[in-house]
Amino acid sequence: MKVISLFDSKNNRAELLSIWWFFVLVIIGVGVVAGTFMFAADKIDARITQSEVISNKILGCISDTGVFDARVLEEDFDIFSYCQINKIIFQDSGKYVLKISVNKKIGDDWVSLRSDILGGNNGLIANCMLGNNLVAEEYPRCSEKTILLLDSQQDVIQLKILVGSNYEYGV
Amino acid sequence: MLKNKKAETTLVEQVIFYVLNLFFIISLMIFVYNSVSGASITEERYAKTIALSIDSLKPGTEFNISISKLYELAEKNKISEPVISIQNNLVSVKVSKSGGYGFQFVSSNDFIYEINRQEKGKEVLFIKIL
Repeated sequence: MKVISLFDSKNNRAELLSIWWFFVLVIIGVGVVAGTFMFAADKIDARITQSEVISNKILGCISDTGVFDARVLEEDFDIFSYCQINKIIFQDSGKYVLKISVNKKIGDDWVSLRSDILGGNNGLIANCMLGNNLVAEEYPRCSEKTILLLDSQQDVIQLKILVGSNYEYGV
Repeated sequence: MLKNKKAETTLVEQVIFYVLNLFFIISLMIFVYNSVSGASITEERYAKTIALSIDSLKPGTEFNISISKLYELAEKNKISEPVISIQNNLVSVKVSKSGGYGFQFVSSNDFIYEINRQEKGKEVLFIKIL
């Protein structure tokens, strides 16, 4: 089998162990090492997963049996204590946001049954969807769900839940 | 005679060439494996997995996470055993002297946890959400 060398020496002999071969090894080695360091230095981004997890937790809490929990409509309803979410961390860290809208279908329109339930850093809401669609590291990653439930009178209730997390790095 | 000598040199050269190439490739693979399975990435991965598991599970749920990898790394890094602490809504994992990683969870459910290490290589973290 003929081995192809980079160039022939003066003796017209294939020269495998040439300086060019070492040069190629160095280039490949530096590339792989640099790529590995970049990968290893990059953090695991769990923001979207965390948003999904919190969103599912809230959803399970206020519609556990598939029936809308009417306590959500009470004006003094506290989503944090009701759904076992640590209010201090969620509110004070500024890294999370929560927005819940409750609507009921009357005729062809959805009518809001109460003011939106808000929690956390509301300033993140505007950046939520941008963060999901753009490569923008500083923007939060959000989960938005819309589900339909039945209330005790068998009327259709629409729940819109938006949860965002910008808690990217641990400590 | 001269031709044979030249052919022999080429064969030796080829053998060295292939051996060095193989050595280079294996070295790179070992380097990449060690880097991506290193302490810092593992600490981060376990801290996030445990924290997100606590957030996602309902009261009454019990679950086990295999942490034998953490013990393996702790032994490799010459610390007696990995440190896993879950308090004040923070999961902390440490398997090296200088490392350590913490990740917050938002659930305020009570829970208990314990590390079962009855058998080496099969260490398990048990968590029960109350």
